[in-house]
Amino acid sequence: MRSSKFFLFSVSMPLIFVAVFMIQCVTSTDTKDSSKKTSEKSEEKAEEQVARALTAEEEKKVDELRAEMELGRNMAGRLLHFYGVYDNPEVIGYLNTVGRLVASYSDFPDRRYMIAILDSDTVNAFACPGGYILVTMGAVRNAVNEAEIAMVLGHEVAHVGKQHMLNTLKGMSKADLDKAAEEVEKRKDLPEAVLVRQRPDPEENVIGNMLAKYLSGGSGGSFSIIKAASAGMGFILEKGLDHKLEFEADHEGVKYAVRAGYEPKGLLKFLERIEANTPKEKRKILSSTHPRISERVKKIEEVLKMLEADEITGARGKKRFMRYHAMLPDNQGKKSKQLKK
Amino acid sequence: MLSLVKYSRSGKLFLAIFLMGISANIYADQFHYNNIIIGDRALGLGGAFGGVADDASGVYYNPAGLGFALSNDISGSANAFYTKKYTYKNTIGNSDYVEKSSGSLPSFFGFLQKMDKVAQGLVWGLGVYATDSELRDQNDVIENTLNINRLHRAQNMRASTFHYSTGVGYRLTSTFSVGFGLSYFAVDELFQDYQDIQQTFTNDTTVGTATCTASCTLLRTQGSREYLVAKGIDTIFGVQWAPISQLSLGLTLKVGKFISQSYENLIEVRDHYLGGQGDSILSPALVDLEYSNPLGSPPLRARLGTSWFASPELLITFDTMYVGEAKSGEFSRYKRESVINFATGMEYYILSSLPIRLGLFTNNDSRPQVEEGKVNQADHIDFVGGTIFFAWVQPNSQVSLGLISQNGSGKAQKIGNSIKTQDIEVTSQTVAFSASHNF
Repeated sequence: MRSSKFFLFSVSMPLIFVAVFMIQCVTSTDTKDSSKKTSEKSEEKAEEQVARALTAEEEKKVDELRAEMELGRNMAGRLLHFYGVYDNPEVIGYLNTVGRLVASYSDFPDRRYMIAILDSDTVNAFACPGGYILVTMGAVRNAVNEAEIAMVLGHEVAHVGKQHMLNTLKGMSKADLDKAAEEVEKRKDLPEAVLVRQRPDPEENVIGNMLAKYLSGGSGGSFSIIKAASAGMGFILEKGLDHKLEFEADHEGVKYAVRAGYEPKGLLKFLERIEANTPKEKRKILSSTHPRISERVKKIEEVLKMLEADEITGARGKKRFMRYHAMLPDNQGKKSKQLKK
Repeated sequence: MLSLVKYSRSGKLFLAIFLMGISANIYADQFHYNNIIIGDRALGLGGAFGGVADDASGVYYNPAGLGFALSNDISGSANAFYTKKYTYKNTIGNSDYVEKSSGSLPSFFGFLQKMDKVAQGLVWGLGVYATDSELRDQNDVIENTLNINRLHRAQNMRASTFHYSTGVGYRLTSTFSVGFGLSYFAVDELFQDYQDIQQTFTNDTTVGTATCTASCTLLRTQGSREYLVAKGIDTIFGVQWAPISQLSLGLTLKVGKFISQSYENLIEVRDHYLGGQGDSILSPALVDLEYSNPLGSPPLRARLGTSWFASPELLITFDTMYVGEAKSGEFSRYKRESVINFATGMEYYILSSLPIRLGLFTNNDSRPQVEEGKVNQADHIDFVGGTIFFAWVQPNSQVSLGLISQNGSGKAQKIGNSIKTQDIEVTSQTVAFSASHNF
């Protein structure tokens, strides 16, 4: 009897244990599953919530950046078409290295910068929205060391990072944008003897601007890339940005290049050399689109004073620069004899 | 005009002078060619605009300049207030005689329209402008001076020469443009002068057929009216060439023809004797002239303009203007000699919205020099002028405000039938403004 009871117990216990374990397992699994599900759900919910919030902001940001890139690409394309491109991968690669180094010390290190060289003897550099920086061959020739070209690139990096061109175009009313684009298109075919009669572009009066925006309904969502790019060309080749923005780009450009370790007086010397050596016709666009060199020099001197530039020993990078400089053709298309010496 | 009255005793010079009256030789100015500066920018550049002429005022300065216009343009200017003062030195004894005029004038309005759709570089312009305008209300009372008891002179003058012009400029090549224009002009000058002179004689004096014995008083009243009207057409040819992009040379030729013209002159002189022989009235002396061709033909006008576009901020201009001899028609007073004037201007943008414009110009007289020993000669006054204008420029428009100042000097014969000449000084100040809109 006892044995039968023991058998029953011995058989039943494991069964009970298994049953209990199973029940427990089942219970525990259920509990774990439910807590996991709860946690996942809340995470998903939070993620969804976060994702929704970020998506709205990011989407806007992405849209803006896309528009900025598209605008810059369009403008850069027009400039490359206008001037032609100097296609020497070694020199272009070198400028990109210097430009990105300076940019990495700028306030906008996360942006992408693409630097190309325009096949032009004029002295100028252009910053298109989205990080497209175009430097003329004349500008590279005008420099005598890496510090100088680094400062020039720093100036353009500041324009891009601070979105000077983009904001200028966005600040225009639709009517003004249309008109500016139309003007540029109209003037494309005008001869030099007509264009020389153009006077400085006036600074718009705040009240007049507001009134124009009010009357025209503002630029709003109707920012057309093509029109903006066309209008932007007007700023780049004819009118220039607001002088305050140019001074700011000088200020920031010097700062970035100094942070990157370059000799602080590079831009100053670069500009002074333009004034001294570059014939007027080769700096005509620069003169019409930028403040006077004397004014820029004065402002840069203030920046240098503020940075205590005399106490800074920066790199000039002359040797490396000269190696690439020598690869440039001279005005007759031959390699620069002067720099080969 | 007062020579009809003969004086028996030339020894009474002072008496005679005032009985002869103040000369009415103040008719409006067909004898200076730079009295009013036309245009918007040109206003500040002292009219040195023949090498630029790329706004609506190109119809006046050089229609070929229209071909170099950057945009459509509508502009206007006005002499908001002008004042002019003629000072005839030592005219009444040792005293100066002064005449003044002032007023306001809408001097220019015009527009230009680019017509690239018709032909690249073709531009059409239209302009209405005044090359001369003066309004004068003169009222002088001179009492107890020398032998004059009382002299009262009231003078009114309204004079204007308006042009209604149209022109086209066509850029044949990137550096060369030709222009053609037509201008209908209308001259309208009305001059009215009234003088009464009361004078007591201390000696016997014969005037006309009557003799005024000592202590008699003569009252002379004289009135005159002159009215000149002329209408004509000027044909304007121009070329403009930019040998290098920053330099522009312009040449303009204008030849004109009158369609109609007339001149009327009515003078009436009456003398009254008061006291002495008793009151008597002499027969009035009356002149009534009418000419159908007083002016002859308009002179040939040529303008050579040079402009240097040194930079977007700086423009320097220089014009030379030649006006040929104009043979008068029936009325010798309108004979004009050839004359050359110069103008130079500078525009400088102090700020991108604030240009200053400065100009210097001459405004020489085409009348002959006053010679000693002759009588009843016209004034000869050569002017030098300056302009200073500040503009406020916005993207599509600008307004400017400034001052035009002219100073003239020369010789005059203010007293009729007298050989005495006077130095004359003239000052003229004009506050003017202009506005333009580009589209």
